[in-house]
Amino acid sequence: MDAHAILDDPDFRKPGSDRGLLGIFRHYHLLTLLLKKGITTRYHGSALGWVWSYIRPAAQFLMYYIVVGILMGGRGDITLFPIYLFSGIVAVNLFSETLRNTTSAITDNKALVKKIYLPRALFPLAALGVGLIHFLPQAVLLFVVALIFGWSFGWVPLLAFIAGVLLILIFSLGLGLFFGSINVAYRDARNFVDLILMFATWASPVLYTWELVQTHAPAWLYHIYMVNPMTAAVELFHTAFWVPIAPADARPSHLLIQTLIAAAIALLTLLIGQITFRKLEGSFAQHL
Amino acid sequence: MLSTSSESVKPVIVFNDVSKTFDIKHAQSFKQAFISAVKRQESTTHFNAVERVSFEVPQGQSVALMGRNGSGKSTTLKLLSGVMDPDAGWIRTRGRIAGLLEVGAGFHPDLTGRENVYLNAAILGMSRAETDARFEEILNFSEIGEFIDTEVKRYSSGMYSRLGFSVAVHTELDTLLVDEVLSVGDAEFRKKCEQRMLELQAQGKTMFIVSHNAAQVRKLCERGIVLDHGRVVFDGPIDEAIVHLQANTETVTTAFPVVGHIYDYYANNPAIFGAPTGPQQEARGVTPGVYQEFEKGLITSYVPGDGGGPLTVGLGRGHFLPVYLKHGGPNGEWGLMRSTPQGMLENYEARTMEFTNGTAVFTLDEGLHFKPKQ
Repeated sequence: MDAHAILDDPDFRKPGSDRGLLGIFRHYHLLTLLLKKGITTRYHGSALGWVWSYIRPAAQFLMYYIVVGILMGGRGDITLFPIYLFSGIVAVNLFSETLRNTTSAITDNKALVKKIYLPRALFPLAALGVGLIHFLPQAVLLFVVALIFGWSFGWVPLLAFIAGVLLILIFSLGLGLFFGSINVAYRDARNFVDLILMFATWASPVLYTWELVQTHAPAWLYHIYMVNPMTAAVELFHTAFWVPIAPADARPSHLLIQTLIAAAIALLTLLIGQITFRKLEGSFAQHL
Repeated sequence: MLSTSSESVKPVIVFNDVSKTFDIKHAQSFKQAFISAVKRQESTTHFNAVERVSFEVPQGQSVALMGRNGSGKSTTLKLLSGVMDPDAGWIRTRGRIAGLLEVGAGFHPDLTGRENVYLNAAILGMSRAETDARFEEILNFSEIGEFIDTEVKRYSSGMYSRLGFSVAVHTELDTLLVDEVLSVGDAEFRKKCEQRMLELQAQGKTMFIVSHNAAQVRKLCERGIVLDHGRVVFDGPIDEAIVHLQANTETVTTAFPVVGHIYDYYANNPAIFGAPTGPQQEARGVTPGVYQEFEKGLITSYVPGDGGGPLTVGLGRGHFLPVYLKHGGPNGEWGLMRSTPQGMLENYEARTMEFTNGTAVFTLDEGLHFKPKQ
């Protein structure tokens, strides 16, 4: 057969071709197995196992609550500060968990990436899923605490929660694809991610309110701060868990439009991450 | 050229003028990359792994890809499976291709045999229903028995490869890629593997086998492609290919074969290490592993206990090699190599190198010291 006949023949496939994130859904079964693997091996060999998923946020909460809520004079400006704090911590935890997982997904699976062709985006996606499942116990805990303090059902809080989770997942997957693919050739990327995560807690209204930024920062900085996807996500978590039980506290005036801009930024991040990943994935096998 | 099939039958594998060049990157961090950019040093070396390779494989044919170490066999197989993309030329395949590139590459040590079978089968492209339907067959073939529900980290290396091989040869496929894995298990199991491969052939499956074992490929394959320095030097009936390969090896002295992970490392840049001066050996230190000595260096490989793949590191001529060898090398108190030397003496930094039992540090003022791990 001559070359053109083969290149034009739909029966023939180029080895290692897939359709990016969308192509993953053809490998749905493998994705569920990778998820299962990530979940069962996560705390393998540790006596307390999944309890660690509760201990870490609890310790974090206690530390911040004692230092910021008590030692530093308390946060009298925020009603029910513990709930405010806890919902912020849970949002940031989801972000750090998923970003860390997705960034190291390719290097963690290097035995496979080097030897067998699979759509490589499967690994960050499975890592994202593991992060999400890991987050659920914390979310349940937060929900129960909010319920004790008089939380009652409403559509706005529910939608805000779902939107917040989606926003964090999209943003961290975008960043994770970007840094994860660079991390294959230059392990510096992982340290950069650690830096981002260090900032995440402080660059979003977890320990203080948005009003503090508004009064102290210039207007342009305040606007940038508010459209940061993590700020938007934390505020969505506040809307979901804290606002229903502390309705008297002031809320940012343009929250909806800010959230929409943040969502656009997150989607753009995902697009850039996906393009970077596609560009670099061909060289993963030789760099690992 | 063999052509038993009629012109109307489409081939299953087509390589058209395929080349692959590796850029061996010397910089491992942004800093090193930046420094070499400033100094205008070449931070990479080029290495032609595969050069202008063309061939077609018709459906149902069994082909052996042969050649000396570093001739580009593994790269060709990686290009074929899609793990790597060619730099020039194109490759097309037809039907389902499953790679037996490394037995149990997809196994996770903390999962049970059963979980790993499902995972590995899914990696090779099987659905849940297909795996369910074949599970009994896979289990029987592997002879793992009741240990199937034990974590695979407790398996012996023989059990591990038997299970991996068993999954691979029971996948739903049209073309099977095999990379030097037919040497798994004991003689009896090897025979069973060959039997199974012949069965698959009889079912009309195409096979693409990379092997050193002339006797085995003679049994399994009808056609041989011989590679040398990345180029096809012979393509034709298997017996002639074997003769060609053996005639070829006489002109080059490779008294000791370089195989496995050490080969993967060595093949990236054989010039650093030169020819092997001894066979691959088991290290007798605290950490189990293997090593091989070369004219100009040494390569060690072991599996760290962190659940990742094997760690293979090579050391060429320099400050560390003679002192390491003086302290017993891989069998001595330093253990196996964990990293290549880091740090630039030119910048007055200490040059350090990690070993399984500690760290070796070289400074211009104090010479070389070994700090054992606490």
